[in-house]
Amino acid sequence: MLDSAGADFIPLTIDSYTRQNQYDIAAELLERSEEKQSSFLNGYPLVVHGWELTRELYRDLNKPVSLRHGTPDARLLVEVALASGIAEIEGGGLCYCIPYSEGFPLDRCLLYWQYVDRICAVHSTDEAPIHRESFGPLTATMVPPAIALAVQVVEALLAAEQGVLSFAASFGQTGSTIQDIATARVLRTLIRRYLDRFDFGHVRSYLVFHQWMGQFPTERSKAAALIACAAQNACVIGADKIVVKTVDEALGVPDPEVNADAVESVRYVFDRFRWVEPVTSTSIEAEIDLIESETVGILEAIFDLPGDVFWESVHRAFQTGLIDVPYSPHADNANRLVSMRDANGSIRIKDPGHVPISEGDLKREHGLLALREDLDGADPSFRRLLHDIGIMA
Amino acid sequence: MSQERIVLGVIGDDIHVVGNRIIQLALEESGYRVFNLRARNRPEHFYQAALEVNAQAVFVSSLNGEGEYWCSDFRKPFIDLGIPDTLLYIGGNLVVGKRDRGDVLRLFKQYGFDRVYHQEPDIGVAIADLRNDLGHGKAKR
Amino acid sequence: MSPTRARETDSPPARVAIDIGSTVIKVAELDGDGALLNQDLCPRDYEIGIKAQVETILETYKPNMEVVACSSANGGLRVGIICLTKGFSGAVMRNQVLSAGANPIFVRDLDEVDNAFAPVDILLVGGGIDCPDAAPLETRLARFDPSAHRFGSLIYAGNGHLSQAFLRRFQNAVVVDNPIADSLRGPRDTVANALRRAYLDDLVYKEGVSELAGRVSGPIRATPEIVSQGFYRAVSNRSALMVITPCLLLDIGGATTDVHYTVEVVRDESVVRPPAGLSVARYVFTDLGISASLDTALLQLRTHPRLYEFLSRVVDDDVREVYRLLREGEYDPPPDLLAYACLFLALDRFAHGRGAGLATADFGRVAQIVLTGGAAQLLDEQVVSRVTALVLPDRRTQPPPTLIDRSYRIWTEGMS
Repeated sequence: MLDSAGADFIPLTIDSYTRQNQYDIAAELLERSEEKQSSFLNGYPLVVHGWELTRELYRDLNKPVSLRHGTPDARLLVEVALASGIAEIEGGGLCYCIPYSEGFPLDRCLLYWQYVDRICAVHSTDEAPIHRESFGPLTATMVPPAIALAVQVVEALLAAEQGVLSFAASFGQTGSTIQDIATARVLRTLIRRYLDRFDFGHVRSYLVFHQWMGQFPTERSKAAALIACAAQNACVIGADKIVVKTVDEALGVPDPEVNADAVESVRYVFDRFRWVEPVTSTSIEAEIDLIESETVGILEAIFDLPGDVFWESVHRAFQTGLIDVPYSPHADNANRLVSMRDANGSIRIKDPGHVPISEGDLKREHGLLALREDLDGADPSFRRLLHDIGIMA
Repeated sequence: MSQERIVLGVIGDDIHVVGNRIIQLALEESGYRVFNLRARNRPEHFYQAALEVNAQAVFVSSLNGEGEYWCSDFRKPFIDLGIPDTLLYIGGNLVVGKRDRGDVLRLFKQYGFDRVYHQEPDIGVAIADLRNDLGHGKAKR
Repeated sequence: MSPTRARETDSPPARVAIDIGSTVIKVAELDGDGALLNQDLCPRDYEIGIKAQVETILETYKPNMEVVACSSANGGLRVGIICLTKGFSGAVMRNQVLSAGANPIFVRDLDEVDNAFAPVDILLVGGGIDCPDAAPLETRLARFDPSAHRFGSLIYAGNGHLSQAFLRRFQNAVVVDNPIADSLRGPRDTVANALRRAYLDDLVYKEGVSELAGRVSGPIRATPEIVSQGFYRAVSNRSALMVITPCLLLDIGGATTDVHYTVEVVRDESVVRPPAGLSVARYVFTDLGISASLDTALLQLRTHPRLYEFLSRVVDDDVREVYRLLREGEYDPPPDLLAYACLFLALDRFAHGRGAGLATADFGRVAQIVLTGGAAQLLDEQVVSRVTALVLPDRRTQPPPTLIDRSYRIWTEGMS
């Protein structure tokens, strides 16, 4: 159905037991689902179904299938996916651990994703590469662009080190159009710059935009407006791919018709509203400058950390709070960084914690925040934070 | 300055972290030192942490109604450990299903909580109460 | 080109690594990259003493060669832990004792009354965050009576504001910084570091190991800590040993059986959680071993409800007779059977979380069992697999493959 609605790729979402490597429970629930003719699983149990059945399922489809899961140890899952003919693998050692897991040790996750990157590389050819895609929205809750971008560049480098030839960086709609435009611009520039700098110039890079991943409005009319605006932003930034939400997002897993409607409405926006010239303004340029400066600062600090191999430096960056993802459930996340929205809805760093934000950049962040604080008066900041998190709901 | 120390955490298997983090920030903004146990706690995590930090108050949240199962006789170990005057607060969705609010409050008071906030969305209320309760000295529970 | 700029460039020089055990001294010559050049096992000579024997051994090497050493003599350092709560200060101290390669013998709350405290080398007392307002710890410390314990040295690692008061009462005590500092999270390694220094600081006198100090560069560390480091390298794809994870490593010794594991093998429902921030952890069974702990290991085996099943997988002929003799205490099992017994008992207890502070493992998740140490050399991979099959959950039919570290690579790499 997504196919006929005009989707360019078909997402395959994996059930949560398979994500936790509990294949036996997934098998049991699949059996029960087949008996009772009703689904007890919240996704596709790829490992249990196996590659032959899955390959058959997608045989007549000539569009790429994209594996979406959230699995810290995805070695077997990705092996089965590749055997099934799936050529787009989402995830990464950071982005599928910090936002998804409470206790999975990050160093183990980085090693498991090193394996995934490597098998993707091994099964790639220049003509038919296996695409690796990171998951930039992370917790999708008040993540400052610099943190998301640093994670994207790190994962691009980790993948390239293992021989991946095609890598898509992504980020989630921030809630501010200015910040969306700036984030996309910096992300494109930096992914290319760092891949080139470390002799990975041959790696192709793409940009993926995730529509609003936070709390969605429950009213369908508002949800539809949010989806259309997100599609518009995807046009403006020239995203290579957009991941679409539905008007029923707030209610849970949508049915196929609603999914198809969402794709159709986004397709409508793409066809009617075209952007040729890059959109810019002084505040966009200022935002670009700030995000780039911060991201470069974080990345250079990670490169400077001791370690015989790169993933060790990345692991240490997480342990020491250089990478700090707001609202992560992970027990080892530093949770020192505090973010807040400014007057135009952009996510600002109020307290960087141990994230290496330069004094000058922090001053700029605070300057932009101050404009908002004038507006809000004496409201304690936790109330404003609650408002900021649920800004679209 | 010796700040007043608060132990904070979510009880049961709930992994709701956004609310927990907001409560931490709200308490810190009001000048308290917060020891955040975060998600997935059992009662012993709360009383043991309270003993280690010599806490003035313990904030328990329960979002999916697991509170009723875990919290019965919540006060007792605090008494046994010689810290009977620790203020005990609980908030969130405390019981499964729809129940009379007054019944829920009475139930959790019986369990030994000083303040009970059932389906009270604004943490500001609890913080104002805390300031008041601590101002009166923790012995006057 | 690797994105990591700042490498630890100065690779160590060629050197000799020595492991002083109760029965043998293991010697390995390593090149600058830590690769093994040759190794040797020398039985301990108790006549001439450890210092003279090590010097004799070193005579065969170049005199200017660097020497690094570790020791597992007497089954390691025995530590008793007295804490404010087992969930916080007790757990942090226990984990640091384990990560320093020492053996936690008990963990007790300050107020816990027990007349049967086992003797320990070091008694470790701690609890509370660093905070002047410390009534709960203060009142408990005032009641604390060390005369109930038999110990060599006393270490205080609690709330720093009470350390002077503690020293006034116990002049011989050693004070180290509070490992939980002023928060419950992010522990500092103060206790582990104190224990690492213990041999050289003469906190304990283990048959003269500290006399070696002059000849050895760096501290003489505990063998389990070295094994733990070697294990971490192996599970990080940085070893000559091909290890598949999640996995666990068993080191069966004369006095103890150590298990090192990647923390993913711990069950989600396990009440005991692995230490925060670590991806590999260690546990030690101080009552399982093939010589010094023979009696306690044998007692557990004889009374184990699955003894017959175990024997039928290990003993070639006349299982009934061996079973009968063992039950009646009339059988003197050979060392390999004892090693299989330690393996079985350790796995069985790990599968059920049976042991103070021991997490519960899910053997459905284990991808490999690795065995190292002297006793492991007596074992056969296929028999190990048959023993492992005894602890698998119902849903799993095939045991994980076994890897026996026949050239002590884990230890060698831990030393480099």
